[in-house]
Amino acid sequence: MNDKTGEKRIGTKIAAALLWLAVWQIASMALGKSFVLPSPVFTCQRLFQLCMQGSFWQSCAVTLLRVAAGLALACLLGFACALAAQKNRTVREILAVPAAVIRSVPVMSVILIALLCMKSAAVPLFVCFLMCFPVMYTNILQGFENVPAEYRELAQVYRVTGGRYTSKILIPASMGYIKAGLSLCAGLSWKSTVAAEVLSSPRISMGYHLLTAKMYLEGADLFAWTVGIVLLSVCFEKALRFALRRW
Amino acid sequence: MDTDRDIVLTRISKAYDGQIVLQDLDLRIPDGEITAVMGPSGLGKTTLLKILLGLEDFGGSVSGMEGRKVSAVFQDSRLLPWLTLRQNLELVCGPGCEAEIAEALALMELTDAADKRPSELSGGMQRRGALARALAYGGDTFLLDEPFTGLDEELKDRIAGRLSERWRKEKKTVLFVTHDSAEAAAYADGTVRLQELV
Repeated sequence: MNDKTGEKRIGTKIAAALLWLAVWQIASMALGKSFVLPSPVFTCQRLFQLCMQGSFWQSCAVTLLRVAAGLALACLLGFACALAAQKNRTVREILAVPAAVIRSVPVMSVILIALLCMKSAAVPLFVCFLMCFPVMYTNILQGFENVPAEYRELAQVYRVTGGRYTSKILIPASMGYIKAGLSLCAGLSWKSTVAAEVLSSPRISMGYHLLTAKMYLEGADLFAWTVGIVLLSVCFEKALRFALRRW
Repeated sequence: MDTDRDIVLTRISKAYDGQIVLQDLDLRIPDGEITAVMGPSGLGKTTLLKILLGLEDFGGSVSGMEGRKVSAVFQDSRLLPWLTLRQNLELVCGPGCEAEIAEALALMELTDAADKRPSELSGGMQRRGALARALAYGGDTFLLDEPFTGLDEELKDRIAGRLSERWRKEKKTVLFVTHDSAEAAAYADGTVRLQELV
């Protein structure tokens, strides 16, 4: 891509964003009820005010921590299960059932069931883990199964086994699949964590603030928190991609 | 001279999707000698090596491979692209073999390229890298599929001469596949022509 094409694309993106902001502004003005649909300017002002408060950043940090922990747990357990499933067909058959079930169960059902069994503060992390686990497990297993035959033969001939095989051949050869799984989970983890926070309402969380904003008809707050979540989610995904680029 | 340590293949047969590649092949590979396998493409030279390496199912029997530590060079170099050349060698010979790695790299004239990734190496250098890996592993038996492909004549003479001298001195059992009868004559103690056996 040459410089001119790149500049043109950036220009198109900015123009598209401005167009939708204009649509939002017009819709807000047409509706005339800022508690239902505040204008983008009003939302930005409210977001700026929230950014001045320590509690905003505290909630962001705790939610971010829950997302990161849930995703990390899903990666670790997904990796361990994929490793076991790759070595043993019975384990794979056994794990195929929960993986398929979790995939098809609605997030809301998972959250409500989790609320029956655990403390509200633990629910978002658990839900994030549970939503990301099947994606990571399936992708990692697919990666392991698609390690080129020539690398497997090389390992067999030179007796590269155990941890050395896993760390030097299996994981690097599967990295494309692992990255794809993480990319899918980056968005999913935020959506499921915030949804779980809304329903379980732990005091320090972005989801709790979304819920209270809705309860008190604070439309600007609701939109400001939503914009905050979207921005953090995008930053999280970019950071994840950047971290994975060196692999 | 036949010995108990010779590798003996008896009535070896192999087919892919009904296409016969090897049929009732009998072959004795003398222990401690360098043997060249020659023959036109498609006659099963690579398949023969894969059978000896335990990578293919086959009909018939192979004896004399038990207890051998086998170093191999495949038809493609198979250097792992995410590792440097040195790391590729470390992978097969494990920790604490820096001396063997340094010696293998020096023998293959690759010392300066040790910290490069395979993508930064030419085809010939990758081939020598695969040979260096086989050397660093320290097998007593070498199964090599066209190991000198991609090397220019001068370099091939130097490296193949050095290797054959070393293998003879250390009494290694070497089987290498080649299309080049001059290469077979120059470096092997004996030659097997596959078309005569099948």
